[in-house]
Amino acid sequence: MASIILERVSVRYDVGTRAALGPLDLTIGEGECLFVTGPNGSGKTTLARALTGVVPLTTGHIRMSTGVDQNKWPPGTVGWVQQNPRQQMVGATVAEDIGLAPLWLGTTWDQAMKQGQASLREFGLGPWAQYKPSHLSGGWQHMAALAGVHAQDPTLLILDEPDAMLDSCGLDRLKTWVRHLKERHQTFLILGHHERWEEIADRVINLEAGRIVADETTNYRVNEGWQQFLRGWWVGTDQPTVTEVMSEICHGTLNI
Amino acid sequence: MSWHIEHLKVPHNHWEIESMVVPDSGIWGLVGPNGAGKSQVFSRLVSWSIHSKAARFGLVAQNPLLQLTETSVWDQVTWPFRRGRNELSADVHNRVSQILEDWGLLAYREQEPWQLSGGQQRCLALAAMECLAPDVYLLDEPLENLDHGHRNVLESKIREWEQSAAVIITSHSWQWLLTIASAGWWCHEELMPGDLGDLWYRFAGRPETPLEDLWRRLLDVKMPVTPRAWIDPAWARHEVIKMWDRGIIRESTL
Ligand SMILES: Nc1ncnc2c1ncn2[C@@H]1O[C@H](COP(=O)(O)OP(=O)(O)OP(=O)(O)O)[C@@H](O)[C@H]1O
Ligand SMILES: [Mg+2]
Repeated sequence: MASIILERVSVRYDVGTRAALGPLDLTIGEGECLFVTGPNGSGKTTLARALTGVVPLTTGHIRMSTGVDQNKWPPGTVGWVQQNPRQQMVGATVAEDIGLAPLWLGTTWDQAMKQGQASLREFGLGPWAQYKPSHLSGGWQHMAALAGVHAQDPTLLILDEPDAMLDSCGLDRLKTWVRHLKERHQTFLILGHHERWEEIADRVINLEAGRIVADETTNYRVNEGWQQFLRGWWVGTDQPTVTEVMSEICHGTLNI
Repeated sequence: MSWHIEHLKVPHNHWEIESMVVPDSGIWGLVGPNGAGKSQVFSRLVSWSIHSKAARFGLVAQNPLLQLTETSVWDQVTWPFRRGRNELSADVHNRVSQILEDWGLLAYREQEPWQLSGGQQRCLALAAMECLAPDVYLLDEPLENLDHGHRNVLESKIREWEQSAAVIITSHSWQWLLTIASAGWWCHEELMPGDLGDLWYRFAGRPETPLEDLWRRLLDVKMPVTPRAWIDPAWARHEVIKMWDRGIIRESTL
């Protein structure tokens, strides 16, 4: 593993139109979790497409810090959960779809199915295993796509709005997985709009019209005092009582 | 006027809506876990409306791409008005242009819908529905993929639509739903109507913010708070202070 370097990268979908992305320079550090945000149409998904190589770069190049150029990366280096996961489900059943990535990457059928089964379990997809992907509800389709890249175990992981459509259980599962990825020092990008990722990510990048307008290591925007006071309670250890909290709200420095 | 619907099957989940009253104005939430059948309820409602000819129910699907069939943004919003004619009346032209403008899509009028970004596609599906002005809007996860600016557009549009149409919304964001709708249905093997604040308290999953968590705990110990007050910190604070002043909070009770 190594960091990933983008140099003067730009993507233009059609000649004569403005570039959907870039030109931009960006280094994605090894083990780093980046939250890429920005208005609709600012180029987030285009960045994902550039990194996965599904759109050709108009200018610039992408390489590993070891020097390996993007077109020499082994298959499966980049795992991508698309914004519309329906577009990436190709198996006849959910179980098969999830097993496809490991299979494609050259493991045996048995191994692939085993890896797939583990992913199915991890994402609570057991009951849906034999369903056609297109017969799942939107939220479960999303879950299945997440399980699919989990089984793929890529070097760089890109999650395009992974929190879309998920109910609170799904969101819990997703957040647990994302925290787990961080512990494992997985290099990954989360694209989206929700502030929840600012807390989890190491770095937040703001795109506007294809350009990086801000690139900051995360700082909590949420009121620090409130956050800190509640943190113990929030994660379930050392709970302040409700009365303590309320007393703080009424008389103390705590400002919600 | 409202519409009474009975015995509507939700096929894949094998349950049935025994009876449902679809109102003719206001904003309503349809909430339930992933896979509960909310989208099916919507498509069944649309099919009911088509067969009964009682009203025009307009669905904006969870996956907007499935609804975008034309080769340009402009055609996507204008095809229902053309009906064989090439020219649009000036009225329609202006109205449609204004709607595209509101959604930030006028600049993309020549672009193919599938070439739009995810958020732009959702805006287009919503804009196309607005052009049709249905009697009931069924919005399946309309908030998803929208940036903050477009969320504001959506919110003000919904408030505009509800004057003359009912707007039924599914969303997993309780916070958002509670700020915009006051009642709705819980959907899980049945359709249970209720106050959204109560439904939140009964059915919502793990709280996402400390304040939401605090509120749940207050309700657990039967504190006289408004279930939905946590959506607005100022409102929550106001209720807490009121209780404190009235001496309702005693250490012993908590
Ligand atoms: N296949 C395509 N062909 C032509 N233009 C495209 C294509 N895909 C995207 N675009 C345009 O490129 C720009 C960037 O799109 P992109 O999908 O990267 O945005 P995004 O930041 O992911 O937005 P969102 O938050 O809505 O998902 C947009 O203006 C979009 O209309
Ligand atoms: Mg996108």
